[in-house]
Amino acid sequence: MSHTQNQTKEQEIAEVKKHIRQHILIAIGLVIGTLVAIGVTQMQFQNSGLKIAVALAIACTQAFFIIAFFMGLISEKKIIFSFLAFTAIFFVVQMGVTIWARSHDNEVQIK
Amino acid sequence: MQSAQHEHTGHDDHSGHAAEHHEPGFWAKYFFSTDHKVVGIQYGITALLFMFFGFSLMMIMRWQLAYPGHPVPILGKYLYQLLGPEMVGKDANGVPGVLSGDLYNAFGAMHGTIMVFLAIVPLATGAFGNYVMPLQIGAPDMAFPRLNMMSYQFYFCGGVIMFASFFIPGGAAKSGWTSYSPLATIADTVHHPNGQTLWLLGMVFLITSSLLGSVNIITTIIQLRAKGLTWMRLPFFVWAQFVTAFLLLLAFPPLEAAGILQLMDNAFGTSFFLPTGLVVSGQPLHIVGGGSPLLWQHLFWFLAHPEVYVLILPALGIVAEVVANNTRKTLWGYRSMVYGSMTLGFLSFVVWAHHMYLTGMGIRIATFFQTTTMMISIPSVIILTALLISLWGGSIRINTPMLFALGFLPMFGIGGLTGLPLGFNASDIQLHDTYYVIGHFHYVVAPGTIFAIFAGIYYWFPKATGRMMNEYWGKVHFALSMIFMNLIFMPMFIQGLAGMSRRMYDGGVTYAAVGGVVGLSPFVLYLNKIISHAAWALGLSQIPFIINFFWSMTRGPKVTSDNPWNATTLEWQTPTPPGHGNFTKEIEVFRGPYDYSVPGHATDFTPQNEPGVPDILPHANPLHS
Amino acid sequence: MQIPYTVERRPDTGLYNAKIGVWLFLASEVMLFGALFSSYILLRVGADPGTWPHHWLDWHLGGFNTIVLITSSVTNVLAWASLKMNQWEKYRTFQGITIFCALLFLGIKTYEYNDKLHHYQITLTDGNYVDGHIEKAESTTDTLVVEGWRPENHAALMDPPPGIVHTKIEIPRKQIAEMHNYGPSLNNFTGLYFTMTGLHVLHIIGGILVIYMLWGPLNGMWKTDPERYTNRVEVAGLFWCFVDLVWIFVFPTLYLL
Repeated sequence: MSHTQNQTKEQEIAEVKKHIRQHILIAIGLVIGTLVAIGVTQMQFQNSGLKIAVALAIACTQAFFIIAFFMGLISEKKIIFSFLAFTAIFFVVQMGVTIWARSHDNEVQIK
Repeated sequence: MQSAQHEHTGHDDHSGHAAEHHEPGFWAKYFFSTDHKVVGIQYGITALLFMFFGFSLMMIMRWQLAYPGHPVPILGKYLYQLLGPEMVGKDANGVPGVLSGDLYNAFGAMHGTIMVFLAIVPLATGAFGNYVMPLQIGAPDMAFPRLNMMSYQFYFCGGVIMFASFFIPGGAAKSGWTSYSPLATIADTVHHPNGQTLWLLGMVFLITSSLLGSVNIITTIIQLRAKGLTWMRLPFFVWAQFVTAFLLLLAFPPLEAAGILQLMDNAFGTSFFLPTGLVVSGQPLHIVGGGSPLLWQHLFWFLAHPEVYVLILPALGIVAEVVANNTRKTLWGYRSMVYGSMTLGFLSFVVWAHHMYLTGMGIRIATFFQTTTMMISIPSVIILTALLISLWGGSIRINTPMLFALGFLPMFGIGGLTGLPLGFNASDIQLHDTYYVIGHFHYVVAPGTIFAIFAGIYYWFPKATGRMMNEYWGKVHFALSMIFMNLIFMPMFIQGLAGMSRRMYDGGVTYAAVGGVVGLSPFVLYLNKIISHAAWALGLSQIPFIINFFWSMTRGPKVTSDNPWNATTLEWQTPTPPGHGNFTKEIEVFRGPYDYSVPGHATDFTPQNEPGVPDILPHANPLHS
Repeated sequence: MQIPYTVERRPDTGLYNAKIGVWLFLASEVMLFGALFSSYILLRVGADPGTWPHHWLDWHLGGFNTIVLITSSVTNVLAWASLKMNQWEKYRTFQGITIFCALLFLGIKTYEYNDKLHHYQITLTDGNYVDGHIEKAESTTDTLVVEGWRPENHAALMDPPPGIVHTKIEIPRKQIAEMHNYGPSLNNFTGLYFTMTGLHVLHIIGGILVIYMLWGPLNGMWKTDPERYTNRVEVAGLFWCFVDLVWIFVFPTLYLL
């Protein structure tokens, strides 16, 4: 839903109406995603890493749709993107470096 | 501060709404106000009280360090009565008042916590940020006034919880302000809840307060700037508050998460940070294990490093305002300072593990953090250099705010430079956890940030109260504080280089070089006495300030104009003190923040909202001929 | 004294104040839950082999809860859309469903917590295990009656095989070495389960309280300042979608992997 000042009330309402069908379809898609994730993870996997990757990929896709459409980020203003971009960077740094630190715990340090 | 209560100023156009302007009662006016100026002053007074309390804790600790085993004079018996024989011991003659190791550690942990979270940050962002920033951007108040009130109330509650923790069985938290696991969980397994639990609970309140405050500050700066006040026309103080608020917003939550996890460890028997096989006092601890003490450190320092930039950025902001005003020229390198502060803010998120060089986390990671740490010194130096160059060619006015601002510059320089050997992995091996570190960070915060805060108080006092503080006693306050700050913290570098560890409750006597044993020399131990006496003298030196502050509120010389310092920024365009809604006229900004001594102008300062030729190149201005 | 841009949008940013405020708040929440997820990953990756459990949580309940939350998210957005189109009754219906879904989620979560707290891991003196729920009514002072199963070894306890049949098991109390419920202190997995879902539950409660207050006691503003009211519903909705978003990651992480 874009919120330009120039839109009249009627135009806004028409936009909102258009998006209602979209929301319902996305909701159905999300439910299907959940069921697929359950199905996939209940199967026996050779490689547990692959199982994790698939489950997280489904979760990320679901997350994308919720953020972009339910929360309207896809048509949101630039300034909001900039906060979220920084947040994403710091989130990755915090998670990534903390885990990187752990995985080197038992290594011999001097090569 | 009768400031916000003059609701009738500038409300002449509301004659038809008499019903909305009933005088609020005492509680509504002073405790439940949503006016940013009242909230700012609430933060200011509460924070100064906590600073006094935190300072007093240190003064008692310093007695122990100078005279280990001797009872604290005068206060000793009261401490004994208040806190009991487990915390306070007696000397050989049965005189009570010797701090036990546990009590020393509790004082130490709480001194750090109180100074950082209950004094400096609330002063820098809650007091100055709330009071000055909306005025400087030409806004009537903050974007979310009720949220502002709530953020103060959360802060107050957190403070009360922290204060109360001294008086519960077991005493206050005693595992350092850094609250490292497993010590934080095993330091007191007897009492539940204990001081550590209350510390964690208090932190949750303080973090919530901080969060609400940052959301408010950022939204206000983005949305409520006056007409014509573009980003690059903002006073540097506002930029500093903006970046600081982002640091608080994004860095605090991992500590909140860590705090919740540690609370679970302490109160619900989990082992998030407790490793398998932990043995305490010869007995294996009955925990499930599998936890990681390093995880706590990562999450803690992820906040605590940006936190130190939260401590310094608003101070740099205050100093910038005072320097521009008292050199009667624009700041040199304004753009560099703005981009520098944004870079500083960004980089502050990726340097945290330089506090963890000695944890054995690995050479690759240490190198990564060493690199980023060296990088972050660049924007800091840019900002400090810009401030120094701003003095060049200026028409310098010496008054109390300027003295503190000038004093800040070399002190921050020393603090910053002494950080370099700590930022390098190799040299940090020698210096980590020694008094060198204490010297380093106190230089940046004590004669650093606190001097900037004093500068800000002397500078903005006339706007808030309509009276000037006494100049003579201000200068006395400055001179004495400057001397004693240096006497306290300079010797600590010597002690640290000699290997004196932090957090030793006997001042290092256990490690004295006696009888041919390698250890701390008598000179290094003697420095403890010098430092302690200087600390007590510093405490006494604050008395002129405290008296000046309260006396001048009602009996200082009244200002003769709304703009006694002849400053250019918008806060001086309000009535004194500003009423509810702040500005009595429509504010439109036409120029940058520091149009001092512009050639062709009649006066040596041109306020931001003065219409006329825009701030591109100076040329003769027909307005003031 | 009016704060500008509370309802009308500021020309250069195109936003009203509360929109910025809530996205900033959500950014901080991302960091909060992110730190918990990174703690989860670090503790799981660093756990000694054989000490991290699998399939201890019922994906049926978790999956159903996920669908419940997705539903509540979409009805919440539809509620806001109804307000935008001036359809008060539709708003009341959709938001009512949102609140109902939230309560359903909480109910199921309560059932799950209760189940875990009454589910016991019993180590016998001979080193064997019994795992199940205690039948209080049938137990005596000498014998504990458990509805459960006997895991073969520690590995089976950590990773229960599919198709377990629960039977009544009688254990003489003398043979019990240790007994621990599936609460937070059992191991780091249950600790993280309770902490992460517990924090999430607090957010659900907070969110639904705000949505309820706007829908019920404080809905007078719709008559006096409909645009501002709609904005408040939008902002609360953004928070609610975020709460759903967190669960989208919590569910696979804790229940499926």
